[in-house]
Amino acid sequence: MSSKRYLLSLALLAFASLALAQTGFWANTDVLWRSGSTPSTGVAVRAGVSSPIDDISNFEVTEYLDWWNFRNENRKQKFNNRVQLGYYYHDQELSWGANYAATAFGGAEAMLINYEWVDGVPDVKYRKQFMHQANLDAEYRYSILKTSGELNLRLLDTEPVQVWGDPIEGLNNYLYDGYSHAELGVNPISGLNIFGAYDYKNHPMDEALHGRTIDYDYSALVLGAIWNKKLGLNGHFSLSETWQNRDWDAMLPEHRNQLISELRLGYHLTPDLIASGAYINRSCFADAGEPVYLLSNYARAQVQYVFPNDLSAGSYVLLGAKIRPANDAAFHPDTSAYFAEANYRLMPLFYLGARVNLAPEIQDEYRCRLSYRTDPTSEIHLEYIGRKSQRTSPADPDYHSLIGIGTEVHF
Amino acid sequence: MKRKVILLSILLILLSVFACRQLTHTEYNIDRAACNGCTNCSAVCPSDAIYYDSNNKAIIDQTKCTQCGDCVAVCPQNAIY
Repeated sequence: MSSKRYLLSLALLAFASLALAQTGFWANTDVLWRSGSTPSTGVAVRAGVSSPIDDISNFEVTEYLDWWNFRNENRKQKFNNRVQLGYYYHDQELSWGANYAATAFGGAEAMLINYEWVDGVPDVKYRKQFMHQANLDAEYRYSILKTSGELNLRLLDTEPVQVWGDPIEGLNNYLYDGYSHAELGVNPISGLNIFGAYDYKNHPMDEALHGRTIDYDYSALVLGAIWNKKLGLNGHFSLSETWQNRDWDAMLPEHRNQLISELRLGYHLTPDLIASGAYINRSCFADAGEPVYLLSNYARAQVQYVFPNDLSAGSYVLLGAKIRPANDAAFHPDTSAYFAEANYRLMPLFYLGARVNLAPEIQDEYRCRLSYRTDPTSEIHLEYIGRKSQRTSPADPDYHSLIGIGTEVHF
Repeated sequence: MKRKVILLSILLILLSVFACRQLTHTEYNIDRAACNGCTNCSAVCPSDAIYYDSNNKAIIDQTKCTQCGDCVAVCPQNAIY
């Protein structure tokens, strides 16, 4: 782990927190005790600082920490801590942002990353230790033209672990992925944007792995159109159709061309009742004239009612569903989920919340939370989470529960 | 206006029906509008296939993804499909 860089990030976080005026701060902290197959203790922290520099730019620092004394619930590490610093600029014609994220990992398991099967088994695994990511994005609008670009550069510092074959000398610790996106669009009429884009991912091959025949570079040509429409004062509607022509070494031929159809709706039925919906279909085909295959169908709808008698808007009921049938039930589960959530002010300063998330082929989750609000945006809470996971075996589901105590602070 | 919306919606549904041949494999993707950037998905991904863009929205790198579905179970927003 590159501890110097990590400490530098933390120092920058502290500096930014102290140096910037008019700073907004938020933090959610939870301590959780897990019972069930692997009793364990965890801490989760989500915190951020945001400060406007002037009317059109701001600076942000965020901190995400997850620590557990055991790797559980499929986590691939006991500990990960992500610190991100970002600068964002936005005016009428130009908007751009730059940020850097440093993530430290602890107690990570060795994973198959960018692997190739050699004699029937993968040869090298990698244990994550530290990750640097730099992001840059910009968008420029001029008259009916819009151009944008994005760059995401990741450098993952790992400990390579050879699991098979003759010893490989000089395995590289660093795995690099560079993602780039360039887009040019035109708005011939209000609300309609026709665009073309190019995506490219660069993954240099480890020279020590000279026997490999595939790499993990990626490229895609994208053409599409999106139509946005306001529905009176209370709603919006968008419809888009995108075609992607993609290429990477291990890609199945049928995945080469993908059509993405997307429909979104949002509507305030009354000032307190909001409904929204989305539908996305992904279909693919190898070449023109070849059969078209279904890749995924996804529909989502939810309705939220905010109780008008609670002026802090902390009392609400939300009902929703995500429908995503299995592509082929023999190979993948149906990932549909049905969810309901409510939070209600029992008495001044005390709220009772509940959430049910039922995904019949994945996991059912039940949550209950009692909160004491110290002001309209800050609280101390006690939480119970119960889960029945179907993923290990539907005949023998994994039951476990968590009890947590936490705080939410905004100022 | 309403008629156009209905017609376009029908066209989309027809496209779904037309593309009725199913593959034994699939692709997982993330509904950007629903993602809250919580990082749960990347914490469980066994092939380091999830990264975050400039807006802290998770993206699945299809060149690395093995379609294990581990990320689906931990997404609190049900944003992975």
